[in-house]
Amino acid sequence: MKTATLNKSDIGKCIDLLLQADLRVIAPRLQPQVDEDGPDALEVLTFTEVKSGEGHQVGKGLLPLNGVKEFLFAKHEPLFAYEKRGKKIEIIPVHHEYPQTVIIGVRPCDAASIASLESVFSDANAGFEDPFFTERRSRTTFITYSCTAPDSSCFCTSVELSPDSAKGSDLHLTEIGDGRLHVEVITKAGEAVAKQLQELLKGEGDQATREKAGAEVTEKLTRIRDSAPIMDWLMDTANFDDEMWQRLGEKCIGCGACTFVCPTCHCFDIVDENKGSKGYRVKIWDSCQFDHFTLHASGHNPRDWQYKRYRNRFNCKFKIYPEKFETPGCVGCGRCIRACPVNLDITEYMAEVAHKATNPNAIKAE
Amino acid sequence: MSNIYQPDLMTITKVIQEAPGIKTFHLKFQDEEVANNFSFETGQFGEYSAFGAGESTFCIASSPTRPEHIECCFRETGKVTAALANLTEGDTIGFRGPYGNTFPLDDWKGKNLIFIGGGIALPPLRSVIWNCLDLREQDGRFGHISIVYGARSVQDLVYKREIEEWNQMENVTMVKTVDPGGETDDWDGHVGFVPHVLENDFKPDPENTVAIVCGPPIMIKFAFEALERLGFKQEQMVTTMENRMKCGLGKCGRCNIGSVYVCIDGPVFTATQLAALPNDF
Amino acid sequence: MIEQIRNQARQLLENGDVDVVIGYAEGSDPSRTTPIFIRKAEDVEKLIYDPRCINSLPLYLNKRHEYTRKGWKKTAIIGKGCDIRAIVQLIAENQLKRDEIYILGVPCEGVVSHPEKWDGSLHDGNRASKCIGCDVMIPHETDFFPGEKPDVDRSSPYEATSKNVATLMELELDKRFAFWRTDFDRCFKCYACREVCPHCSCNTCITDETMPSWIDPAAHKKGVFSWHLTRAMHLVGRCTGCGECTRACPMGIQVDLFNQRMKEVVQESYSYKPGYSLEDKHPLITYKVDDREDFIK
Repeated sequence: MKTATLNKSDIGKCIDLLLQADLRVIAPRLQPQVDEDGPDALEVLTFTEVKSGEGHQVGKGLLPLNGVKEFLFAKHEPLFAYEKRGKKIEIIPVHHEYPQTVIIGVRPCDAASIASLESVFSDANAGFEDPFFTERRSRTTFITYSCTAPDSSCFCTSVELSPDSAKGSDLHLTEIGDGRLHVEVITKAGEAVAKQLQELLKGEGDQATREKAGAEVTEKLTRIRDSAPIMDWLMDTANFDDEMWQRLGEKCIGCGACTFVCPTCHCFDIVDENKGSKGYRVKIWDSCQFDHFTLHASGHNPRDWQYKRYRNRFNCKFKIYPEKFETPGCVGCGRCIRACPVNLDITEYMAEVAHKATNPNAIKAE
Repeated sequence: MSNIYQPDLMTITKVIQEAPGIKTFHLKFQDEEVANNFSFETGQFGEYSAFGAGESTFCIASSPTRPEHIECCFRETGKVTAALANLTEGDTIGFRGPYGNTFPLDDWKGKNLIFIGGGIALPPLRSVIWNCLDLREQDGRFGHISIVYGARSVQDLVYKREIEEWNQMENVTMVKTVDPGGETDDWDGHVGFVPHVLENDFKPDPENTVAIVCGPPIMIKFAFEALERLGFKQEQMVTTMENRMKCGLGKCGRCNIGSVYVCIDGPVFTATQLAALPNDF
Repeated sequence: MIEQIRNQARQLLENGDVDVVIGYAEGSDPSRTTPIFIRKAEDVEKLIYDPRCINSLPLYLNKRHEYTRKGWKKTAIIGKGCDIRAIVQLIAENQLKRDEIYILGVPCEGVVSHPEKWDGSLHDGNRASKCIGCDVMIPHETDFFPGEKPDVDRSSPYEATSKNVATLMELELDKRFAFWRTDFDRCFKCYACREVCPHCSCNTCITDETMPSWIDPAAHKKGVFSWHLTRAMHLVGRCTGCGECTRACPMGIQVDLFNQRMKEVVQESYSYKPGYSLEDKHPLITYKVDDREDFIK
């Protein structure tokens, strides 16, 4: 693997070089607040398209609120336009721009989620390829940045990742002290980007220091859950009716915050946006936490209580994704924990399940 | 690259008012090439669009043995079905499909078939009923065919003309019923819920027989229980699920029962397969 | 203080006076607390109260979340003053009956604005702005209160509005609009603002209506603006200012600035603040002879 070093202070210059090469660059940025110093203001860090290397927050702050999902799987995606002419309809394709894009400052958990989304939207899933996703995916390069300061909601090490993992990365950066970054070229796309940055990349990297740095940060993760027995426990359909689902889930208020901030949640709705005799059919984000999500036309709702909707979400992460799509459903970013207004914590479910799965005294339904 | 979300256009060639709020459309593809390349098998479904309102999921209600057009039958319940119901002959709708798996007709060779349905659940059965009747006509590949169908009231029965047609057929047993209170003075069928009539009046012999059930989840549950009491084994019972769907492509995440996506892995399931799924339907 | 609340809760459960006590418990990390439903007397030890107890628990009394209350005849709820205002408002709007609810009032010194800002103590840097000028730190409507309840003058029709509203209102119109455009660009319509709101009590929310579809479900500019502005209008004269919509927003959008601004308008026009009287109807559904008319031209 090709390695190099880069000065941390040169990241702004990197962004400028990428922009000069006519690439679209997306990086973490702080959003303006009404009263920056007021008690209500929180730092709002998001991935945003940037027009210059100034003001970027690459490597600063932990996780942008939005993740990278929206740059591959748009919040609002026009699928085609239509026009009614008397009894006839004309379908007009919508022109989409798929600019060659680099997303810089992606954390390892977010990078690992790309393969999961891909397993849903690519033709590997039942032979149906969502061209809007795959076109964007094939034109997007991820420059990842190992974490240095995980917070109390992070749990990537509980789902077989680590704060310095290069999984899903094209070009991976890790701080190795003295304001330097160890650069690893992971893929061909990463190599192409490295070429654009050539003037800033120096010599060889420092693999040993990089490994050590990664291991030190891994030590800082406090929220460790045993996820190994979870899938097996969920595979036993009798456990679908276990008492824990209602007990832990009854406080859930049914907003979609956890699903929309989740890097692997992929549910969507298809609706028409009509104006007079024309309109667009669009694909928009949806959430399995909404009460009408599975409501049948007959009025029957298979998930008629909120705790059943959260049960579906948990099953989706730890059973459906690995079983059906053969990719991880959870990357341990902790966004759902930070976002939940009522502190419904996915790792409490994980702990409970792991306990039930491994504790011989736990009552197991037949 | 092809856009999996883009429907083909079809012309409504005929509209039939089946029952209050329930309509059948006969549909033909507008593009000749699409029409020539189109084929489906019984049990499959499609996404039908009323442009300006959106898409709705219905089975293909006609039989593949009668390929001159396809049919769908729907009840007006929401935004899309209301918009569809407003369309008339000659209007254009969108169609994506066919999607999903099919009824396992090959497994049924030489067997007696019982079709059990309630209310608006007859359309999916009607496709497979005509398919089996036509194939039996050709080569006698199935044994006796029975149909047990009921609705809330006499006027809510769909395909009334075809129910009479089946009733007249010599080698078909047609058992029709309406829920108590739904009968009229001249009603000549049973009065009672479908699973009840099935178990107490019709009492089919499970020997060398397959039962195909379609209806709301609660009816499927009671019909399966009735069949089990009659001696049917789970592998002799087949159903088709009607979960809410949007994409039909295994992506939008709505129709799953556990890891099984009804749109991809279904909609046709045996009772054995359903019993292995989590209680989420 | 919390010991007295726990004792009272224990007695209520032991005597069968209530089926459940809704309160706060320790959360899944030290900066967070979580709503808890206590059904057994021995579990009352889990109840806590301190400035981390941000949630407005009356949302669970709202009929939108009724499934949580299945089988409960009488509910006890721990309330800080601002939450009790929400309960009072729900009762005034006939969403709740007073005798279904047993209010365990707590004295409050203010709460932290976000769990992330908790550093072990409450101070000017992390006290939620809604707590500044609050006149219900000693709650007004209670069934139980630990200790003596001193008299508090709550006659002023005006409550303080956060500095943020003033700052925003000072901006030129186009700059103010630009601010919202940037903020709303982040909205993905998870509806956390609606779900945490004690007052969003419609059976079917207008945004979920499909026939006709009043609000585009998509999270584009039109869909987002029409959602937030419509919601703000629906809460005029009803919002009791708990600020939960802003606190719950996973994208850091200060949704409650609209509600706060509308609150100012209602106060100026009708000298009315919601959540103080079990009987008073909010001004937009009532008529009084001395209502202002000068806007009719």
